[in-house]
Amino acid sequence: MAYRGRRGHPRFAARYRVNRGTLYTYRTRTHNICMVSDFFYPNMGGVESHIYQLSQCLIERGHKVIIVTHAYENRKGIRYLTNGLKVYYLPLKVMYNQSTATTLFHSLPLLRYIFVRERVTIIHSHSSFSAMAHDALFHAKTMGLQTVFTDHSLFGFADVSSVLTNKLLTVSLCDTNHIICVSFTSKENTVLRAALNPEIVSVIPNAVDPTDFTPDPFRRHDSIITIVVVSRLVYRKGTDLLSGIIPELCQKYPNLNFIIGGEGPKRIILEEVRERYQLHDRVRLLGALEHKDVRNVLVQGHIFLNTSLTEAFCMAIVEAASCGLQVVSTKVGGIPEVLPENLIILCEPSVKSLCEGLEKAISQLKSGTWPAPENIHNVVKTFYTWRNVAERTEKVYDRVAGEAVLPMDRRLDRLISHCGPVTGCIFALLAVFNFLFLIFLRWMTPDSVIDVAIDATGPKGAWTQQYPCNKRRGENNMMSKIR
Amino acid sequence: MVLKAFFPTCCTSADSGLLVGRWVPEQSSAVILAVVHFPFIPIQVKELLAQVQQTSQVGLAVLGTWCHRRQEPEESLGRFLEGLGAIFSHEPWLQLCREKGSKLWSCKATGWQAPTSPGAPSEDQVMIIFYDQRKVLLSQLHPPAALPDCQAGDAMASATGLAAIFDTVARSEVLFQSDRFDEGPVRLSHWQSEGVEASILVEVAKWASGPICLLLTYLLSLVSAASTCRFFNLWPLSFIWSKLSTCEQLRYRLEQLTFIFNPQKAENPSQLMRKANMFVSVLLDVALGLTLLSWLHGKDRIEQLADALVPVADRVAEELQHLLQWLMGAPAGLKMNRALDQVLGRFFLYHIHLWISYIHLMSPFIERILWHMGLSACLGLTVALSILSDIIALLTFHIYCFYVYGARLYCLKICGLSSLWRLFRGKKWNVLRQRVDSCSYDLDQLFIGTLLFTILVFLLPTTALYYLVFTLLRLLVVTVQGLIHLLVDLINSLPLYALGLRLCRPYRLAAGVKFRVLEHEAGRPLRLLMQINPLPYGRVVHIYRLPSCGCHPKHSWSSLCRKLFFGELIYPWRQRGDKQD
Amino acid sequence: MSAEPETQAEEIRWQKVLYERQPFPDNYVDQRFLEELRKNIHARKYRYWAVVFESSVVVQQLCSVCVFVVIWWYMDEGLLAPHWLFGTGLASSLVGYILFDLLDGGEGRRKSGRTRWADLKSALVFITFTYGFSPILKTLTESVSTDTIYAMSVFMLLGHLVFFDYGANAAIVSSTLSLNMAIFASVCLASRLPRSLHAFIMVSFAIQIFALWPMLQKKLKARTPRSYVGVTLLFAFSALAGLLSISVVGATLFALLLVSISCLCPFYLIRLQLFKENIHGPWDEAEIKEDLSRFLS
Repeated sequence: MAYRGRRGHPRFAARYRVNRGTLYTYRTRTHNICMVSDFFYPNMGGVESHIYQLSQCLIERGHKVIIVTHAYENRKGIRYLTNGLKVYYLPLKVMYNQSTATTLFHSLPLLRYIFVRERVTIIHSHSSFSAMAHDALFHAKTMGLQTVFTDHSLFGFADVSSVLTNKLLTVSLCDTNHIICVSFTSKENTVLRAALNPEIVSVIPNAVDPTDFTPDPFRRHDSIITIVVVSRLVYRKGTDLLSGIIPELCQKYPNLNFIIGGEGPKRIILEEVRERYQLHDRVRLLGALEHKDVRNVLVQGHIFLNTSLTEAFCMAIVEAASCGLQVVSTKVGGIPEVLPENLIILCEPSVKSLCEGLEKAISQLKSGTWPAPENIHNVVKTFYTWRNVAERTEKVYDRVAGEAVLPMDRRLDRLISHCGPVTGCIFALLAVFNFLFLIFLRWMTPDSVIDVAIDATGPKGAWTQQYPCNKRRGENNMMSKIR
Repeated sequence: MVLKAFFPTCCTSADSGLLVGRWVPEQSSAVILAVVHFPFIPIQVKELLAQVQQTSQVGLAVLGTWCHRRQEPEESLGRFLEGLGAIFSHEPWLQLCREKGSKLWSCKATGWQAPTSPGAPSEDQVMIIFYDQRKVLLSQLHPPAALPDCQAGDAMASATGLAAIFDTVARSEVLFQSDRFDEGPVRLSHWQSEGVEASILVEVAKWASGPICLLLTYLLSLVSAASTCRFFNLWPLSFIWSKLSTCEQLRYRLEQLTFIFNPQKAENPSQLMRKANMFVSVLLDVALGLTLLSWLHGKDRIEQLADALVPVADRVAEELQHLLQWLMGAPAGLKMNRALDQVLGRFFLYHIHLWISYIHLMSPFIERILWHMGLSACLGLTVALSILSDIIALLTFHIYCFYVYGARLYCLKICGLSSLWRLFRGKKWNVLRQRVDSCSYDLDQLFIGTLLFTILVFLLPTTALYYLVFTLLRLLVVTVQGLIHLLVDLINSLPLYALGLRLCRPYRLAAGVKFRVLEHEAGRPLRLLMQINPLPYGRVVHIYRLPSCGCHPKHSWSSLCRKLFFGELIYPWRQRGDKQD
Repeated sequence: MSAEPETQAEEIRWQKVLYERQPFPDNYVDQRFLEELRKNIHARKYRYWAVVFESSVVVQQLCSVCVFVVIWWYMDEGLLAPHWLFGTGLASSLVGYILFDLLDGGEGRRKSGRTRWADLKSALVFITFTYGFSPILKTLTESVSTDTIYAMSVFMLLGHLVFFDYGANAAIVSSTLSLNMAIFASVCLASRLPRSLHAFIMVSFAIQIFALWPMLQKKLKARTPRSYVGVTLLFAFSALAGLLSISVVGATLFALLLVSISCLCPFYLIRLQLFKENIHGPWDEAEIKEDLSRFLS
């Protein structure tokens, strides 16, 4: 695969060009991939955009991709997105935090029908918070399909709730073919949580679209220094730390402003701080931001501050760096892996350390030792691209497609031996029930009765044939965000 | 676009002549209103049209020619008619022709869609639609509330197009007033009202109605001036007026009469309709009231009623006493606090005692009062019903009092308990943030709070039971009153005149039209018959409903239940909704 | 990425970074995998006697509930004159009040800024309200069955024990709720007593034992641990003795409970501590160690 680092080897570069040239030709092996997650548009967030962008790039590379999620209010049934990306919004009840309720069984009829009529070969589930993703993994294994899982989040081991969720993750992943994590820290975490063989865990980072995050130095005032914070205002994102940093620094630097984008339950403490220290003109709370507005907020600032207390892969700092901002961040989770040391100032998660980091950034800014935004952008834009992510994910698919899915008896063995005697037996029993249910469903509506869906994506797809010019045009706005 | 010629059915048998009507370019339809017969002098025709146009504000014109061939075809007439187009220039120039017998029609429109070759006939593009001039003139078109049913041909004439046609016919009423038998300079053929001369009585009534209306208006204004007199608006009186439904009804009746006898002419059909509806409803009401009056004053019925009334009130009070005694025991094995139970029970018993003595004090006068009240029925049944409602309210005043006491006590308890429960959990209600915050209380605050909480918790069932029983009683009374008000409202607001009109003359209230195909042959114009669709009864009631004095319950069922649960008063004798009109 | 067979893979060291494309496959596992894993970094070593000493708070509270119930039983049976209880209570309250100030030499009082007048006012409020409400209390639960009252009191006293502030930093702890539940229980029980004077004295006794006594205990524990142990033992034995006079079985069970809480539970805690295996690493949610409330107060 292309090795295209900054110290790029010419040989590899040449090879990459060849790859690019054959991008739209037939691949020898294409997959029918089904992405499953509770989180998808119209919900907005890291997982959602990951699924969308990855799917688009995979379609570009000639695979067939469909997405399955649950219905969002009146957005239900089947919708088509750019390039014929088909999305199933299933009528499942939402329980908590946009995640569906699970009984392990009730979704089998629907999912089986979709898997069969779409001729899916690989199930790719996303996010360990999504009950539907785990359901789909469970059913896919029962049906003998290849499974891949992407974990987007970190979990601790200390409290009772994480003990329980980790157990469930162990069960869910114990016979999954391959797992993808977004950072090395996330990989370590997932391997520990689910007691996995690290060989079947790949690290493929998230990406950002660098064309969406371009610097605009004229948008910022040079007489005052502006610190930008864009995150949900919740405890996990360290809003409490922010409430300590603001008065500290505002008292020290009279020409320092804060712009804070995002909404959440902790907004109230920021408002209290602002009232208490009379900072109404210097601290702007913008409230919830749409993804398309984030860039316009980022370019107004000089320094980007991230106070997260835990983070698997922080997209926000990459976006900020891509806009040419100086990034100051807490050193938690996978953040140290994301940006090289010369582009980020890492601090301990405490008010004191973060204030020191910010002061360092301010002094660098004042002395002019910091590179120009344009230069930073040019460096950062080479780091993470969705095409690269798709290539690497494709490698995982290729590998998985060659593996055998565990037959039922071996699967039960593995569940019992791998997940502990009690949990293992319970879930082995559930797996048997699921299998019987599947046999019943196959008897009710045999696979041969289910008609095959029209394939919209891919080189032979209905979309491409119907709009042959669209594909060429689509290349340019391929990465455009869904609205 | 297809050219549509609307042709009155009454002119089908008219002699040959000129077609007079209006051209509606937006719909590309020609509304033919009349036929001018030969012989005529073109100048006089034009004069007549200008005259009509001036009075009716409708752009009338000669649209074409009408040729009724009774005998064998006359070539010369046909040519003559074609020549007329030069005199009355109009585009398009219609040439309507009826062959011998009634079956064969032909129609030509020249200068229509073919300005380059004006002589080229384009017969397939003309459609003749027959309409009943009388019905269309008299009917009032109601714009469709929802999408009309898609009937054949309905799509051709959209709602606005229809409205334009109806409007044209209605406004050119002046044209129809000229008599067929008048020996005027121009002879016209169109629909004629047959009964105009005969209705001398109507004329007399019209002539007399003016002064009568004036007189009545004067009297009514006197009455209303008296009612707005300052004395009646002093505080306690005005409060009482606003609570008595009789006063409401009388005020409404006064308004109705003022409106009916308003000497000003009604401006538009809807106002006229409203006036008529109101008039009929008042008439019916008074008639019913007089019937009631005659029934009441015959055979000593008033006396019997008065004799029955006092025992009934006594009986109600007695039943209440029994109820209270039952409550003061251990009703249904509930855990009541004995002391509080006794106190409340005695308090209410004393009230009933007071009430009974009041009733007995009143009993000698009741017959006279009833007799006078009975007289009010001549103002209408609704007034009598309102008085009945007020009497019920007065006779159940004790129940109302009990309800208010019970609700107040209960509400106090619920409020206290909810805030003390927060204290019990170490929380408090933050008024500024509108949420529950945690709070650290002092020891003495905690102690007293919990003490009160405990006491209130154990006393709650007793209060709640009293509240429940009296609320149920109160709801019963309110339901009875509500039914009476519903009846009054029905009489007040039902558009009787409109309903009668719909029943006897369905075409007067038109919801739309439907077309029936008369002839459809290749090479001949399509002939359709336009028929009027009457308005459904539901919509008649909906459109012409008279504004009533507004007794609609303001709150929904859920909010009512909420209020009942928290012990808020479902206050008045009647739920005073937002007044319409 | 695809490992080239002949590249200098040995020379290029694997880095734990994402921004560079490294010549290793995506599922490559390096030597340094999990090198930041730590175990039991927050685990604490306990000493047996220290844990036993700390457990005395629980013992004290159990004994308080026990003593309260025993006294109530005596009053209900008419074995204890209300005047005597009132006298004793008043005297011990006075002693406790003086002791409370003597223990830290009035330092706590200066810190909180609470005057003696405020104390007196509180005491007056207690006594007036309790006395005023005692006739109501007397008739309050007449119609409610005795079993219901007992069930309620047991439930409330258990709640008192569950929510009591033993010094642990948990979400469930709420000293307000705990105290309120105890007062509720005492009012319920007091309403069963024969006369309103009894009720008044029972409720005031409940305040002394549930509200005032823990405050004094806390101070004793902080200032003079030695005497605190003595007081605890004394209290426990008196509670046991009182219970013994009512029911032998109950006293035995209660003694077993006390022993298991103060001796067995600490023993098990220390034994089980050996099996603790807590994993820590960079994925853990960072804790905010500073006190951020200073910015808002």
